[in-house]
Amino acid sequence: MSPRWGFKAWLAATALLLAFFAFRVAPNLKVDGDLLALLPASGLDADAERAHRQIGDAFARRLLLLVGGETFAVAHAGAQALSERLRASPAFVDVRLEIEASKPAAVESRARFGLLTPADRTRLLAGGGDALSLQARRALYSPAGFAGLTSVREDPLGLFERYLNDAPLLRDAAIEGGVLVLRRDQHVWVVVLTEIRGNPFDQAVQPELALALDEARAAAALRGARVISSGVAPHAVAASKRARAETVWLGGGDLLACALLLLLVFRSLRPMALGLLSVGLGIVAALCCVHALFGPVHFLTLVFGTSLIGVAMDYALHFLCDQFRDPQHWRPIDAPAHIRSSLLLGLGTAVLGYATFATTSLPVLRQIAVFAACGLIVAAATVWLAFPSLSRPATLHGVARWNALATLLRPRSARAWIWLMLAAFAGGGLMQLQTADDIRLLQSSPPQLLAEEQQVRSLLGTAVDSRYFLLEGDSAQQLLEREEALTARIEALQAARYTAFSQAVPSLKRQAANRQLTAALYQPGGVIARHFSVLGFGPETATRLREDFASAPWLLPEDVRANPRLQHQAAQWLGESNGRWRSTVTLADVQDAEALARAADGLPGVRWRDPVSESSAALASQRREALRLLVVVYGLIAGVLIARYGFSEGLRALAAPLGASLLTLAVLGWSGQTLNLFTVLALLLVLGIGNDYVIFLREGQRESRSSGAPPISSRLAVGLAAMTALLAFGGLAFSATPFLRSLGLTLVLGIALTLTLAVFTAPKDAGPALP
Amino acid sequence: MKPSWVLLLLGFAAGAAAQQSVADIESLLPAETFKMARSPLLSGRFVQTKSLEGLAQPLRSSGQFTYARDHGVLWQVQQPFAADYVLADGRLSVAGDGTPPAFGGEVARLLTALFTLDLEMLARSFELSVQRGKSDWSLRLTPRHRALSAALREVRLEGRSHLQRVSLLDEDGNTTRIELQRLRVLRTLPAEVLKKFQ
Repeated sequence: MSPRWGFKAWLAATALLLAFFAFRVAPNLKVDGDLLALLPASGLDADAERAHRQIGDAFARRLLLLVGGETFAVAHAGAQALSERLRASPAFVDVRLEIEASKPAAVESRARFGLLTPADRTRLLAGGGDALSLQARRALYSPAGFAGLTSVREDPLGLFERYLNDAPLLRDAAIEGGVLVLRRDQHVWVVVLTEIRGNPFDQAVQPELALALDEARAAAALRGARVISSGVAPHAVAASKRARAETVWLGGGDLLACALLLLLVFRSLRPMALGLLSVGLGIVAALCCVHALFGPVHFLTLVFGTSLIGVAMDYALHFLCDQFRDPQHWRPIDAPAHIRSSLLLGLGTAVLGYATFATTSLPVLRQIAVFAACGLIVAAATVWLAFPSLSRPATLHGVARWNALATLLRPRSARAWIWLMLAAFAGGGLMQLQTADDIRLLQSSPPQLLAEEQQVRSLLGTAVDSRYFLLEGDSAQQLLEREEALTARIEALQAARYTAFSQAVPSLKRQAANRQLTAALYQPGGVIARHFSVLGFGPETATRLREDFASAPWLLPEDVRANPRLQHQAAQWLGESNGRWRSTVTLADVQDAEALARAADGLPGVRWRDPVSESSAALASQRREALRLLVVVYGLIAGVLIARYGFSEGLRALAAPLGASLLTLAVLGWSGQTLNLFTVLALLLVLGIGNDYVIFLREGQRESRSSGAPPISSRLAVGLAAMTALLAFGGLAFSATPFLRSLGLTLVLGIALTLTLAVFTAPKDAGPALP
Repeated sequence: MKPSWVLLLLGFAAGAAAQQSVADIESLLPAETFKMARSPLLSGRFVQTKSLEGLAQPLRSSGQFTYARDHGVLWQVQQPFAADYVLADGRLSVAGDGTPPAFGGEVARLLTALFTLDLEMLARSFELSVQRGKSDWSLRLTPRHRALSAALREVRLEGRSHLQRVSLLDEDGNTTRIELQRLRVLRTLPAEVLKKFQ
């Protein structure tokens, strides 16, 4: 293909690409910001997985806010202003400040004879009917006797009353002025319970959510109140905001560094514009590919995509630096012939590496692989096809200075004892390297938010736990029975507080057992008849209650679904899907997690779920898979290098990125840093970038051997490429997001070491001595 | 023309009465009432009668109470059985009787506010309206919020120079009436009472 035709083909393809991007991709492009979404919950079937997501989603949608002030009036006014603003936002479906009446529904009242608290059941089993009667009579004379939800005639022993109050939403909160209030240290806190419309990580929800939260806080502050919160939402907003800012900063910094360097070397805008063009088209093409294959682009893909800029820029730098080969007579049209083998080998090995990663089953890693491969191919094609026509020879300044820089990268040798020491250092460091696959790598919250969370917990006196039980059954009743078997064990262990739907609606078996247990109380002459007669009620009161007992209906799950009083418990009930019924038992104030985990043993259809440690396990398995693939990629690239340079020279070439990676790991080991998925991904980038250096240096040498000119241009290209990469990734090492920091640190170390090793392992220049 | 003028004025006055502020109410009640209610140490006898629907005879209990600003209220039932209740720190605890009653916290706060005429506190949860007779007065409290109205329909406080009677009317039409008698301001807290608070 002649250069002219190549350029025309490139123009047409670019026009198509840009049109496709502008009209099809850009308007529909969605960024998936949930960093935790990349973790598959392992070992679950599709329905259970959906149930798991449902629970996680419900958990993430809840947000509890405490509005505090020196006086009730200040706190209450603040809470009202805050609620008003949140209610006006489409991001919130429910904002509750005023507490609803907690009267039981009529159907519950009629079915009350089958409803007992665990404590009352225990007392009745021990034959404590008369004791309950005495306690109830005493309560009538107490100053608090008037405050009850049930009447003496319908609930003489207070069994139903206690049942209704068995699972309070917030133990330490009091109702004052119609709202829930907590008092601590001369401070009054008003509780506002909210529910968000969608997952707070969802980019469709987040902007409105962040805005509403900010404005609501400001509205409360205006009235002198301060706001603290507990829930996933503020963390999601903070994490996304920071990660987005850092991505922009990182990508922008990289691009800026590249542009400035090109400007400095060539003193002309055109090379800079060309560099940006190749990288820009690469990114556009990569976005198109990922969008077409995967739909939404994951946030992590974008992070790695911006790192890709450094690699894609190598090709442009190589082309442009070719001018230094012959500053006076250089013609752009001649350059491709001189850099062809470097470009093809560099691109070929990089794409081979990323394609290997595309074979993994992990969607995010596949996305990154597709993004990188596609971006690199288009960036290289732009250099190859468009640069010869678009480039112009620049008037080079300070050629001697750049030549001196290139000379720094001439092959050198090191004494054997230095290699031995490095090997010892690497061996020692690798022995100390620890792995850490903590989920907190993905997400670390600002300390201020964590402090708020802690304060809310201590005020509420309760800590909601992310661990829970997932239950399944063939029918609603079987599921309720399984819940009851489980909650009985939790009660016996006293290992945590729990919330279960069967607290609101016991199984029919349990209701029947409860009625059997209490039947004797209602008999003529029984505890209740005596209770009424002692108080002075006529005999008809006991008779009527006996009749109510005999005609009481059973309480069924569908009876309470719409009851606002039982919203909390109803949220635990996931309902039926594909013939299986599912529910969860959630936990708070966990004392003994190990005992709880064992509580599910031997109970059919009950599974203990620990999302945090499961996520960490998923991260660990992803790290192991990435490490395996990295080894495969090294093998494939070794094959290519051996085919090109022969066995011993090929291995020598590979020694630079491999040695650099091992040394980087050793440095991490000596300094107490840990190995995680992101370190391994960074090592893949180190291989991709380092490989370019090795190939460019060797191909430049070969090229100079055939042309007789010193291999200045390739060395300069490598030097400049390394400078841009170090500038760009150096910033990442200071990131506040742990996984970005991990990535940056590994990249900076890895690239610097690869360059050094590449210089010390390159073959000596042949022929006449070079300047 | 004239009768309608009068009606209009009456209507206006009724509207004004419904929106009495805490300061208005305080100015309408005798100053000595507050002086008594706000003294740091107070004690007296009480007689509680509870009328329940379907019950011919109301349930009567009586005993002694002590209010100490720094500790709370000690409610000692003597008849028909002996039981001590402590209303403090937003909690109602029962000496010698197992489980604390439901809503103990709210009840403790409410009763303490009622006995000490903490109008500020009461106005948060109730609409207040006062009626002043020649020498007596009555203060009617109706719940502002559904959370409270589920349990209470109305509270009425009555007195002359000091608070004499608290009546609580619940949703089911039952009434609890607490008569306060022989109210007196204490100089010091008796040691045996202090012990009950601790």
